[in-house]
Amino acid sequence: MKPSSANTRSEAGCAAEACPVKLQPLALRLTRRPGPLLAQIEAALRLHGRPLRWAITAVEPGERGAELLLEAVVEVQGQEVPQGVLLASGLEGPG
Amino acid sequence: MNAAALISQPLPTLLVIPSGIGCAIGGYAGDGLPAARLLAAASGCLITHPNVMNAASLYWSEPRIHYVEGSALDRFAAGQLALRPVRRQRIGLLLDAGIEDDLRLRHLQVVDGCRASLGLEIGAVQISDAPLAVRLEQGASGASWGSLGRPDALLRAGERLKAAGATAIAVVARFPDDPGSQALAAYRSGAGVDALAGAEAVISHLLSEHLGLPCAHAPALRPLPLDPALDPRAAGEELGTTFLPCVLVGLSRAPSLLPWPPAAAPGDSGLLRPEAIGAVVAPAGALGGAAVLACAERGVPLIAVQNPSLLSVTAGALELAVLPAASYTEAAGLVLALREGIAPAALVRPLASTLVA
Repeated sequence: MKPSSANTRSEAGCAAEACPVKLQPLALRLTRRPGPLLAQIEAALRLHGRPLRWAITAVEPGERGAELLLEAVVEVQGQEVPQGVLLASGLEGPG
Repeated sequence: MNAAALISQPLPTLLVIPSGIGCAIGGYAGDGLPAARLLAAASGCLITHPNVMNAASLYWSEPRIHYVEGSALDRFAAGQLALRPVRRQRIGLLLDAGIEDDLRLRHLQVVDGCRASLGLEIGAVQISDAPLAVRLEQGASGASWGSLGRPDALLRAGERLKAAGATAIAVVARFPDDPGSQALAAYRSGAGVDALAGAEAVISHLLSEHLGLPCAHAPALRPLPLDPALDPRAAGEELGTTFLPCVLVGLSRAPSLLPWPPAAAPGDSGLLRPEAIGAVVAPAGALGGAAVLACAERGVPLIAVQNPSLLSVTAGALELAVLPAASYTEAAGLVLALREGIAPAALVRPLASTLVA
């Protein structure tokens, strides 16, 4: 079970005034690796911001294993959104 | 506790029906509520989210159902929160500055009605210091999503309500009116996706995670023209001038959220602890959400119910072990079996012979 520290933005000491926040819609493709799935998804989303809401919306076969299509909204605070596995910044990504 | 007493104990069960993916049951105006009531009776303790319970002017207050906003439900499933049932919450109302004066007055009169007729405690009201600028979006899957142009204004208003003593927050944001859209027509005819649900979930997730309080959202919209072909599942949203009554009733007894595990022993026998979750019930084609995956990874029995939607993210695709159910009625039977300590496999035929491992 994960520790309970900093479960919320306010617990992390981040008030609305101090941490201007933007919401970024994303569509991602993630190749599933062995092991627990949840940690893989959360790590992939954290590359783009703090995951606020997400879902696996499709699973497709891939050469290296199942490919998960994720749709999400993440919180970003002033930084650029990296483009690594990003299919779309918006939700019109994977067809 | 002896075995008889243990069997009579509730089996805390999560019911998840994701918003904005067009679920045949639960994808409209609180039309998952009958299933929730049935599962609450079977389990004795059901934890579910506003999308299941909210039917605008219609609501059902049931002490065996715990109304928990979606992101808090995810964190409960992941073992990061416990839930503390309360007699009542002190609700603060957060209104989007983008709401016109007459619509704002409608919402304030709902507050007055709930205070006068239901005895709810609704205290401070705050208007955001800028319009929240809700945007509706749709994913490639067809699922509804959305965002806010001014999340900072939402969070500031929430902080002011919490500082004023609110223990739960109802948010009303102005949503774009689009009465002529094909998407709305499809939804009202019972063949579409709730285009508002995705943005609503983002708003309540953001606020609840930021404040650590129970939160829920109602959209402010102009009333729609009368539709004689309205699907019964969408009817709950067309009875009144706001979507707020169900949110206020739901929040009025929503459990408080406690970070878990706690820094000190909570000393609270009434606490709903995440390790007590005995089952999770979700649509068989929508198993790719945080709460379901967290429960599955913790070994909580997962009941996958046939409830068609846009998605086909199945147990097979995700390599999850599930108890399949053809309906919520069957799911309630499985929950009851788990509560009574009956192995679900013993209830189906053929029954495989025992083999030596």
